[in-house]
Amino acid sequence: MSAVLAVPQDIRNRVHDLIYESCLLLNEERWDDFLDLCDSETFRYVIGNYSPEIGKEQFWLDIDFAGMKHMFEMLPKHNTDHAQLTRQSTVYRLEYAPENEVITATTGFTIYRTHEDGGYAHLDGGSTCLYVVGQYIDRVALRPDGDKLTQRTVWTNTRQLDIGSHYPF
Amino acid sequence: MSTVAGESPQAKQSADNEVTGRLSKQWSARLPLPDSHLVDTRIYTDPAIFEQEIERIWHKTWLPVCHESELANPLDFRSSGIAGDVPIVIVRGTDGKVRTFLNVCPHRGNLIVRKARGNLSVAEPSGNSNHMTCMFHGWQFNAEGRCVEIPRERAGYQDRVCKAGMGLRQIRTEVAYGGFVWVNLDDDGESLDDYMGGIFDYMKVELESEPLEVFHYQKVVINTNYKYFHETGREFYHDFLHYHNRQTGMMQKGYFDRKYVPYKNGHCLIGLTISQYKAYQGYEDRGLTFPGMPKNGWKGIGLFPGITFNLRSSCLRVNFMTPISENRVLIEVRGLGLKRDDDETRASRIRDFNTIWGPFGRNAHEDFLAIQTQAVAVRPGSGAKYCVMAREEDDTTHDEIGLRCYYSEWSRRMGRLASDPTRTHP
Ligand code: FES
Ligand SMILES: [Fe+2]
Repeated sequence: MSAVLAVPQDIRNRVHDLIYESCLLLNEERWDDFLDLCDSETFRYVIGNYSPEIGKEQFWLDIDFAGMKHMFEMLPKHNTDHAQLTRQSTVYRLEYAPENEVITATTGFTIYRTHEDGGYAHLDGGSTCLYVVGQYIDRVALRPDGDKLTQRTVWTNTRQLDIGSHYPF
Repeated sequence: MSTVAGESPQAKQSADNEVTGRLSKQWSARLPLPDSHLVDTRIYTDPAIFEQEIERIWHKTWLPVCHESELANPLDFRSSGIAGDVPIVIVRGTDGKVRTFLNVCPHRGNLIVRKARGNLSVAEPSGNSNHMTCMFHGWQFNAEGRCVEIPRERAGYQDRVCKAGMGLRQIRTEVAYGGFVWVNLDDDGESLDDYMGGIFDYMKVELESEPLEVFHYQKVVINTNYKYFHETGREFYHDFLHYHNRQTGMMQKGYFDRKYVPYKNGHCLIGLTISQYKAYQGYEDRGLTFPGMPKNGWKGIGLFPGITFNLRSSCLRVNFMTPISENRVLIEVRGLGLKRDDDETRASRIRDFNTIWGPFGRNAHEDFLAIQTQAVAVRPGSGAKYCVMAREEDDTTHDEIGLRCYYSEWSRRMGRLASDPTRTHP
């Protein structure tokens, strides 16, 4: 991809580090540290997919920084299956607009779910299944004081989440 | 653990073993409640009872299968299924009429239409446009269900099999109550309106003032009995499960005044309530509603044998189910707004929907979690005997009359008591 080659190596490294770090922090449920990677003014987090059943793109979550923060704060208040989500990701493509100091990154991801008490903990606790397959389309603002995610669009191929969870992807 | 001087450790141990719970005999004994107020757990776990439910209930009642907006244009189709895994295809004809057929080829039983949705004018590798073509041997059917092509018909069948006798099995279909497509596998049963018995008068303005459109579609497959999910739509005692409901509903004046009204055929309506969304940070501003709905209003209809229409503030959620086995169900969740919504209005409805009923919303996961773990506890042989449905609070919010009216109809249709399925319904 010519766009990838056009991105200077040091910027590539910075963006890769940011995205991989974001996945690790989410895996570790370090929500505040994840939010530190996001721009508090402009951040937008969207989860969507295409439904062939209704012939439309649909959006299952579309929130800003405050919405994301609130979502994290609510997690301990809700009943949940306590499943551990493990994101595995590979940054595939970077597109660079040097004049704006903005990178668009396309990252393929899978999320595995390790069951705890959402079913029969005695039987299922500790077992792992594949949960979601999709892509992160991230916009990253390059800044001297630290690069920030300004948008993450999580576009999933998976549309069946069984009992799902309150936790973002 | 200290032992009194002179007392043996064994004596202390047996004092500690005093029975504080119930032993098997007491645990298994029936509670002193009438048949209407409890349910035997075997009705959730017995495969033979499930088979009978499919035959006596699901194949005899009107069920919604999709919304008209999913097949808006002539020759649009939508494939779906009815309880017990009956594959169907719904097609809008060139005459605009919506018809439903068994999605089974009369030749050798292949599925005819495989896609979830599409339009018959689009050519497929195996097929002519404008027809449903079975890819296996190329038999074709038009949108009215007639067989219009059998390749090499006379060469192989001479006059013994001909197109005229090979049409599709047509299924009774109505488009009604907010533009939903309703089907009934029973050719001779009561009409849709008779089956509903007027319950939709309660949502007539909201559903019938103008056309609706689906914006959210989610499939959820859970290892549980379908009735558990429907029960979550018929009792609000489980608002204790939902942090959101405790905050926005239960704290407020009037919460306990909401009325259930049982209808004929096991249907039940759930009276209007006004939610206090300002009590839930981030979701304060809810000016948008449906025609006829007050701001922040919430009302519902529960239909036998497992459909809910829930209208909350700006969005309508409609849930249907396809029971697969006694311990597996497909739940379809739809969110709807008005067809004429501009982009901003639609986005606002979607946001409202997502906060509560979306996959990351406050309530959806909790309900699914509860019915999944319920099915774990009530496995055959687990020792679970009864589910108690005995709350009486003047038919208001935490009254379990919605459940009792369901199981009264269940017992009538099944010819056996939900409280003891070995006994005949009188
Ligand atoms: S099975 Fe359909 S054409 Fe043969
Ligand atoms: Fe609920």
